[in-house]
Amino acid sequence: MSEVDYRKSPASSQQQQGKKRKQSPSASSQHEGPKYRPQHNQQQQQQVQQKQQQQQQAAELEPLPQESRRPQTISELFPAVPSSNSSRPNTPPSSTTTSSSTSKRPRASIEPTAEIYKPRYTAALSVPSTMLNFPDQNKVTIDLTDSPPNSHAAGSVKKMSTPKALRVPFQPGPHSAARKLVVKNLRTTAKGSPEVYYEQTWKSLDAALTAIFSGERISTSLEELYRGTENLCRADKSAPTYETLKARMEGYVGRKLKDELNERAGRGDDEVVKAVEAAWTKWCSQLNMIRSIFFYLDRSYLLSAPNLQTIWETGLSLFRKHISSDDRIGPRFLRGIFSLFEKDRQSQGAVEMSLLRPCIRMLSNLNIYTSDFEPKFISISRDYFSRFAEQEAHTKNLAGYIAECDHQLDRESFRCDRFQLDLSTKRELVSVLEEQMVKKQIPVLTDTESVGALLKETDIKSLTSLYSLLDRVGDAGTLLKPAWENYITVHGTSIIQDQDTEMVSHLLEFKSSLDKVWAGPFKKNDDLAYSLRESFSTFINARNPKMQHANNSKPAEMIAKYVDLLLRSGVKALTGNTTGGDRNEAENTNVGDEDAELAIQLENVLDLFRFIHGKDVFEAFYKKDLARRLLMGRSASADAERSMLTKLKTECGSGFTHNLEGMFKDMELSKETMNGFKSSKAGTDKSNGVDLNVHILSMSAWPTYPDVPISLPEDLAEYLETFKEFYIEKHKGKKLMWRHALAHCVLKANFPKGNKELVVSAFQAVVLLLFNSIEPTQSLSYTSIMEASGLPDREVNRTLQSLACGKYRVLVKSPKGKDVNKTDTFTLNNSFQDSKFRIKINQIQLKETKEENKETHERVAQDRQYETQAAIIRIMKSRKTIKHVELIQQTIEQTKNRGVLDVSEIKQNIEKYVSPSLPASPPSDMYWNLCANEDVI
Amino acid sequence: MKVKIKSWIAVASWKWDVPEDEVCGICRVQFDGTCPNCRFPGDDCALLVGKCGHSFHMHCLLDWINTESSRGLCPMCRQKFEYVEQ
Repeated sequence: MSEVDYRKSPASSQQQQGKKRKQSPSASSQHEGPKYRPQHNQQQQQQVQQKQQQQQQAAELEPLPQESRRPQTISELFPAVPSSNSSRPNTPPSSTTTSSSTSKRPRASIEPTAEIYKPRYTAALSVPSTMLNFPDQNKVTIDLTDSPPNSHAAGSVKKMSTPKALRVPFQPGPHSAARKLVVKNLRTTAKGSPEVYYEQTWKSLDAALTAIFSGERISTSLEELYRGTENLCRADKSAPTYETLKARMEGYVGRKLKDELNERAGRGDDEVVKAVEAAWTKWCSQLNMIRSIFFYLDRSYLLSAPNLQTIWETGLSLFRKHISSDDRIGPRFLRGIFSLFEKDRQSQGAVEMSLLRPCIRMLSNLNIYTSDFEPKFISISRDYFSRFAEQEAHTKNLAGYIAECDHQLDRESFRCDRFQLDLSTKRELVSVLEEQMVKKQIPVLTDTESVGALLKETDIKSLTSLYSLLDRVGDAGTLLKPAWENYITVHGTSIIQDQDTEMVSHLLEFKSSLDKVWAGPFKKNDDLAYSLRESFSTFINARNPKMQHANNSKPAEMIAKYVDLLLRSGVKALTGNTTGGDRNEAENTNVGDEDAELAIQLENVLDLFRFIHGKDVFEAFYKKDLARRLLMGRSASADAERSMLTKLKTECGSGFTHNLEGMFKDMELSKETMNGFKSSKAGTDKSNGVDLNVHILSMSAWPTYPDVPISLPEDLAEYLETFKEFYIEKHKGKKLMWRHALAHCVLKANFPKGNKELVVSAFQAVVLLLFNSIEPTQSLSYTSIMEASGLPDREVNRTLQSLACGKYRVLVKSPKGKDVNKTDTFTLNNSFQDSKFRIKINQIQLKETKEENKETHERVAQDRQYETQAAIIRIMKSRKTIKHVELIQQTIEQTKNRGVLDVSEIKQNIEKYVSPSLPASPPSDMYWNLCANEDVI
Repeated sequence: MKVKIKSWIAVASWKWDVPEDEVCGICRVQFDGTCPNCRFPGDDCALLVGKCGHSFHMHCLLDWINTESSRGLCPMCRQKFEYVEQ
């Protein structure tokens, strides 16, 4: 019995069933047959018809004992039987009924049906019945010629079977001449009363029901029962049949099944669940059997009756009425299920799938899943998770709680799949979880301290989960923002306050870890990126009263120095700070990679630089350091210098880098000038073997340097004078001033233990040259050195310290000690030796003294005042009147990039320009531009 | 032991060769500073030294010379302005 037919047929067959039922059974018509089975393929039909006719002929022609022929015919026809059955709409789905009845069919249903049904079957051309009835039929005469020519059935019969096939058997027959089909022994009246038959059928059906209900074997054949039902229905007894059936079923479910259930149920709720589940399984199988028996009733009558339920539905509603909705059982059953779920939640899958799953299926079959079960289940789950979340949130730390949330979400979704809960329930459960575990615990989840701790540990996993959890219930960016900002500000401020030397590298690390978190767990949230920048610039520019310099210029200074370090020593400078693994890596990389690495590092530092508001501080220090690098030839890579300059230019505009570019330009020009000088006559004549190089600086582009007096050796001084003349000759209207503090030189020194080249500053050189005039063993006193070199006291001190107390001790001081005193005397260190040939002692020039640092800061502060004043003038020039607050705001706006002064300082600067002779009684917060009406500004 | 200079890298800075306290006769700004329209002093904002002995910012003087009323005279001494070749 194929399912396809079962599914396909209802619509069409129902119509036909309807038609069939409306027609009186006695209104015999030959057309009914084919119409009744439109699904038959024609071949089959043809086959059947042919066989039918053959059989008729057989019955007619050779009056053999019927019994011997019958089985043969049936077995021949057997293939057609199931198909005829299948074509019947909605054959019972249970195969047990039909398969058992199929085997029995031939014998089982012949006699009684045939006896009683004979009259009607002359008309109903149902194959099996015709088949079964005809063999011991008496004769029926069918006038083939009289059949309506337009009748589909007759027509098809005629067409299908060849004319010969029809005619041939008749020709030899005696009645063929009359062209009539004669059925012998045709009984025209029924043998027994139909009522008796109905009674019998009732009884057998009733007995079958009893057997089913008590779980015994049904004594009557199922086919017979099925047929009986069919006959009852055709006899217009559908309604009473249904009523009786329903009453029987109700009686069973309401009493026996329920009693059994109550017996099993016991006290516990979960026992009820088991009992109900057992009752349900039992009732399902029983109902299935009942439906199979009463299938004809079900399909032909109940299905199309508008107010009646099918047998299956009846059974379900009975079960619902008496058991699941029972006041005692129903609630206990649901409670049991809920407690099983809770148990499962607590013990992680301890509950067997086999118990809960059928229960869930039962609930949905009984249509009480959405009405009764789901809402309660959701509310109970809500309570459970509410309690659970409270407990977990307050006992576990944030990372633990986040993991728990994730875990629970996974578990619950898995649980839904496992117990085959409805998709809508799953959805709702998830939203309950989100609500209870996440939404209600948002304060816990976004607690600034605990989130800060996660960020500090860069707990990527937890942060990822946290973000996606929060993203479920709202805008994660907005929710996390306070904690995120707080962490950045607090941590950043601590970096800035505590560490001076390592500040920038710590800031870089901090920034990169934040970027990592932002790009990974926080899914590049725009809000968070914005607040990252905001917070970073907040703490980096925060005015800190503890800081030595006003306006917190420290970060800017440190960044400038960090860049200096990078540009001076390349990436190597960094490896010292990082771990050994990195160092190996750096060593393994070739030069090209080093350049790339340097570029990356510079880019990172520039990232920090962008946050800085007081860019003037950076510029001042950068300029100073750049000047040193250029003048001392300490740049690691000219390319890197250029690229850094380009970056700064794109970042801050050409105004910012103009001076820096000017410095590079000066270096180029100096080179050209030197080439010119060296090819000139004076340049070569007076050199005395000294290779002179002069850097000529434009005053304004370079940092200001103090003018330090110094007495140079005569021949050198003369040579320098020659150059000066050469230069002034070339550039009229200019004059040249020496900056000996920045000069340095290479000295050849013959130590007893080998010749060396010393790279020293001009000051150091002058001091060392003094020793040329005395014997190697003689010593010079501090004061005599000071006199002869012409250097100021402070410089002599520094220079002597670098020569006698530094890493390379070219001079020996007596008495020994770390500090240089005015009473000390110095001799050449004759035992000086070093593995290197070229020794750099001029580091001291590179080092920034505290005074210099302070000076730079002061200069920057001074410049800020000027900038502010300029801004005030610019603003006032464009306005006639302006309010105080507005003026201050605009001033801040204009000076933001260079460095903003305190409001009080701005006010002071404004007051410098306020004329004492103001118009009479002006509004106190308004300024007038007194020049505004005049043409000259 | 003798020490000998092998090479000397000197540093010098240049200034306009004008008296310290002299200012541009037109804009009254020191020659180390710029004319009012420039931002960066030095070669970008050069000086013009007149044969009459008066010096000005080049930009300042050109502005003056380009006005009709100037008639090519030095604004200070009203002599014909001719600058010293540099």
